Amino acid sequence: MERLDRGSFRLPAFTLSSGVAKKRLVGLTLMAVILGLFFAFNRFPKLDTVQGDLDVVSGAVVECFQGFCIERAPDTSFVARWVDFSVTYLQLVTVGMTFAFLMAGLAEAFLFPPGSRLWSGGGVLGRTLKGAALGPLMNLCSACIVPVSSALRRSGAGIEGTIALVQGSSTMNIPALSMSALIFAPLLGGSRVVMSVVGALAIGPAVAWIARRGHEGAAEEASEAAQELQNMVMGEDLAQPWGEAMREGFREFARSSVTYFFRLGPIMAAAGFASGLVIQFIDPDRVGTFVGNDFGGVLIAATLGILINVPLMFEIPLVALLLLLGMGVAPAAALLFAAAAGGPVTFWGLSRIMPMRAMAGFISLTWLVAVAGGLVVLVVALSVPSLDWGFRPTDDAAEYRAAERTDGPLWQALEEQALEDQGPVTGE
Amino acid sequence: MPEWWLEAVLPGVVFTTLFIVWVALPARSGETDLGSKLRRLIGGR
Repeated sequence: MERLDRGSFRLPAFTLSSGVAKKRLVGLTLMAVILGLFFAFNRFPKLDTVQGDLDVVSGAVVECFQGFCIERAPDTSFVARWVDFSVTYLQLVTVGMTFAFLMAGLAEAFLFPPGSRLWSGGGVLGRTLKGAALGPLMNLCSACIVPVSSALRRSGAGIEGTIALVQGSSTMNIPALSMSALIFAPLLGGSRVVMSVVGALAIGPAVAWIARRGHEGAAEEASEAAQELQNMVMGEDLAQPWGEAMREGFREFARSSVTYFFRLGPIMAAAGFASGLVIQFIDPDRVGTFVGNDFGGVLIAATLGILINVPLMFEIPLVALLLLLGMGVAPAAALLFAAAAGGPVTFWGLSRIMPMRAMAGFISLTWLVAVAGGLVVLVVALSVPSLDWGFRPTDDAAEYRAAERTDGPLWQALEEQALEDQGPVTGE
Repeated sequence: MPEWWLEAVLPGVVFTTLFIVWVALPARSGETDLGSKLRRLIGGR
């Protein structure tokens, strides 16, 4: 490699003769620009949104947040609430989805173009680590990350890298982990961190192992090996002029992004409505009964979690609200992970790029991690019942706990308070 | 302007522009897809 003198230093001069290297340089620049815009105009403001949602759920009267209304107005029908929530959900994820379709196109066209060997190397562990490391950078919910993971799957990420990317982005992203740790008590916040790391590092390789045991998986493995061989034959060192490489890259970027948009967009919208339907069954009057601090509560919360898709970090105010309504800390831990880790949109989207055996493994293992995490939290919480494991001991949380101790269930207390505020009802 | 204007306009503008780029840029020789077919149809060749 040629070197250039800079005073006493000798810096390496990167040779950009190959088309792959040129595309990758432009791809990284485009990624930095798109990622910067996305974080500046969407992700950073979202932290304020989630903080606002937490203020809403801890306020005297719980209002709606991100389209979800726990208090059901008598004049709205079930269908109206379902449609409202689903439409708001789709509005909330539109910018993230647009970013995801662009990133998917960028990955296929510029970062890992045909002839690229960067992603597929490193074995199962290497691909898992790459997926888990890239995930938090993407910072997308489990639905929005589907196009990006599809693109990387086609670029040789394997099942393990693809799932590690999904888990790394949706559960192991820094804003969600830090917000969970700040709001919830160490047991609940810590359980989310541990489950996210386990999910990102262990579910992918386990699903890949399950897939390889089937005929479909063996055929797929052979196809992946053939693809890798083809990439090696094509080589990363094939010289290509800048103009040709960029024309090729931008055309592929446009084709790939538009194709992902039309192929996955309608499915995601439909699955968003399916997920919105499930969340309507959360009934404030029955929260304490069905998701109390017991084994059954953990199973129900984990199952509910994988049946819903939520925007990034939506699970935090949702769990905070359900805790205030009487949910136990163990099911809260299971829901805090499972709601973020996957849902109908994720599973439907990934089923197009993975064998059914792998999908069944992915869904089951996600559920199992949530259940296992919830049970560990249950054992700890039951071992030391004198401590409140739900919230960090802030003034708001302490006030609510005091209100619950004095006035019984919080919801009833709030309703009584509201009636008192309206004053006595006078007859004629 | 409605609250959801960004959600409607952003993907509309982005993907329409990308679709135009897909059709406008020539494909590699021998490669046929929707973009290249539309390009031939519009260009008359």
